[in-house]
Amino acid sequence: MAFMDRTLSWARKKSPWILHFNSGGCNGCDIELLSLLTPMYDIERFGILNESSPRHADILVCTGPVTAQVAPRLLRIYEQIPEPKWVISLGSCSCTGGVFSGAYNIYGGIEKVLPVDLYVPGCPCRPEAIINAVISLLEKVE
Amino acid sequence: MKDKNLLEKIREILTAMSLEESTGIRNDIGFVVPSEQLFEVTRQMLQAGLYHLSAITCFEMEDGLHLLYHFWYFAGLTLRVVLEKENPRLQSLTPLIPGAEFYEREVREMIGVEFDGLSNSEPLLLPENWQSPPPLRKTQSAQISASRPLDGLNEVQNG
Amino acid sequence: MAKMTIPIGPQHPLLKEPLSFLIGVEGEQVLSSSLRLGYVHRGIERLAESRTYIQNVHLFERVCGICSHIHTTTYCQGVEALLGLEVPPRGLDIRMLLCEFERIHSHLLWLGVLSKNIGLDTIFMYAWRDREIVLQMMEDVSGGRVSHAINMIGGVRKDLEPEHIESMLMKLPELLNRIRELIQVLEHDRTFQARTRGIGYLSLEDVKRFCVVGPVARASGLNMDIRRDQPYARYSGLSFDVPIMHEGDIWARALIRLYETIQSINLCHQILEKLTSGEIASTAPRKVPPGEVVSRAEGPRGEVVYFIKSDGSQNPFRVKIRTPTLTALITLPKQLKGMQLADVSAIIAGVDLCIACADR
Repeated sequence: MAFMDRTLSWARKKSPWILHFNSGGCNGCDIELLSLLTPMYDIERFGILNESSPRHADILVCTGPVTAQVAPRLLRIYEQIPEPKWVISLGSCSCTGGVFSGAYNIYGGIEKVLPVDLYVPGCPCRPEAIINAVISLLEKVE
Repeated sequence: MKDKNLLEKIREILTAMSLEESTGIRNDIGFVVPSEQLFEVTRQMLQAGLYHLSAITCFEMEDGLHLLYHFWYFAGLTLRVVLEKENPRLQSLTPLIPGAEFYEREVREMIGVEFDGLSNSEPLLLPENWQSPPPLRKTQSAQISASRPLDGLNEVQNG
Repeated sequence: MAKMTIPIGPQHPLLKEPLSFLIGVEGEQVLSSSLRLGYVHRGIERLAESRTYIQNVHLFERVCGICSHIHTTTYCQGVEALLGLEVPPRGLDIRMLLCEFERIHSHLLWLGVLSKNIGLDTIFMYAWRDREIVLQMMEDVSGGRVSHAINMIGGVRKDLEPEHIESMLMKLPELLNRIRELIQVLEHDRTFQARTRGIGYLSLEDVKRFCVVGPVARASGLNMDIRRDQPYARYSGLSFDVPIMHEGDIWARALIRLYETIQSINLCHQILEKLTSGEIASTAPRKVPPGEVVSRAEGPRGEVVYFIKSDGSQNPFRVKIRTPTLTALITLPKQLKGMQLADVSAIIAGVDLCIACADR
């Protein structure tokens, strides 16, 4: 079974599928993430696909500070992603609440709701930083 | 096409209704309207040809709750209504301007004014489990920051 | 036939932001719909009351990432009116230049999102590839692709370099050619028209009753554009057309946005050629005298309104933001009624949603 494990690990590393969820952000990081699909940055050459269903995804990429309305939905989506799964927290808002910390309707960062594997700061983060983040995460995957 | 005299006509109509013109808002024509006359004033303005309601602003001052109705016809025209802080009620403009529905729902949840005749008065922006007082009230601001929605957090993480 | 309720959102491939629709269908036909906002409500208006006017420029840029510059422009205009401050002409020129770049980038972004929703991925790729040209020009001006931080109360903080102006004047004609190719596709391609013509119709009467603004209103025949009707910055010195159509469907909205992009490129040429020399900002005091002001500007999605009330201190007493997406959202139940389920994706994308703007 060591061969199966190695194959699965190789498959996950070479072709991670990401699910993008905006948990209350301003869209700045989201449009930089979507720019990755476009011909200029083209993350498909790394095998990364932007998936639409939580059941198909390996990595959950979250942007935005967590608002009170979105928090239960975010947790439910996280639970629907099958193991093994990783969470990338994209942008300053999802790391710590960013410029909105102290507002009455936000929890302040995804770490308050989910276990996060990688933090990518920036307001908004550049596409190169996002690619670097996903590649660094993959190097941890074994 | 722009009717150059429309705002002047409306100014005359409103002055004829004995409404007080106020110069509070920079660059805008402003009138103070008693709450019971607001619906009739709006109806007369719509009949004259003014149709665009940009926004409804609400804030709390010492003398009561101020509601500002911002209209626009190549320049701004604002109507100010002052309500008392306890049990504020006002007639909804949605029978005349259906587009006012979202603005009135937001004013209702943010500062607590009840609108008579508003068919859908569910909260627009606040979360479904919001327990604190309306967020834009100054006098209760200490309560709002104390009871933030973190109360439900443990259920969220464990549930 | 059985009646069902289909939930769309908050997480859905059609939606880039959390928003919840409940669509009541019978078979394939939509009978009714309702929507739930508030997933992106961050309480910005209340947050603004506890920060200074200068800190608020940074905050309002992040109301929405796509139309960040127009928010700070409207806010700074309002505060400058309260202060009685005159912004130097070169500062206003740079503000207008970025406003027009932002309009171009937002319309191309929207075209990509609409095409992706209706299954035409190639237009998405081409539109976003062309959008990169605009983002590079914006990065030359301000240092940031999406968030520019170039507005300050009193003017702009960074000047245009001569080599940037030269490179912009070279890139703009290339961008114009590419937009013209996209217009050719939209005007003549039968697949695109089959998915968008006659879908999501709004009459002129509906648009007036719901107080809709922006390209959605102009596609139904409403002739309203704040840049021409109540000019701000230095728009009164520039000449441009405001495209109007009467079909009122998604195809008309798509074409209007691309025609506006051509007008914006034309405006950028005029601004760069007539650029005045001189200072870019006036010094602004920290405390704003008491007063109230309503500031308006034309964003990519329509009229943006800021109401600012100051009480004489360093913090504003009240800031109220009304964004144009809110006016488009209220028409969605009307647009969806009677449509087929397969057209829902086109209709939702057709109004150019920016829920971050609507929820604040």
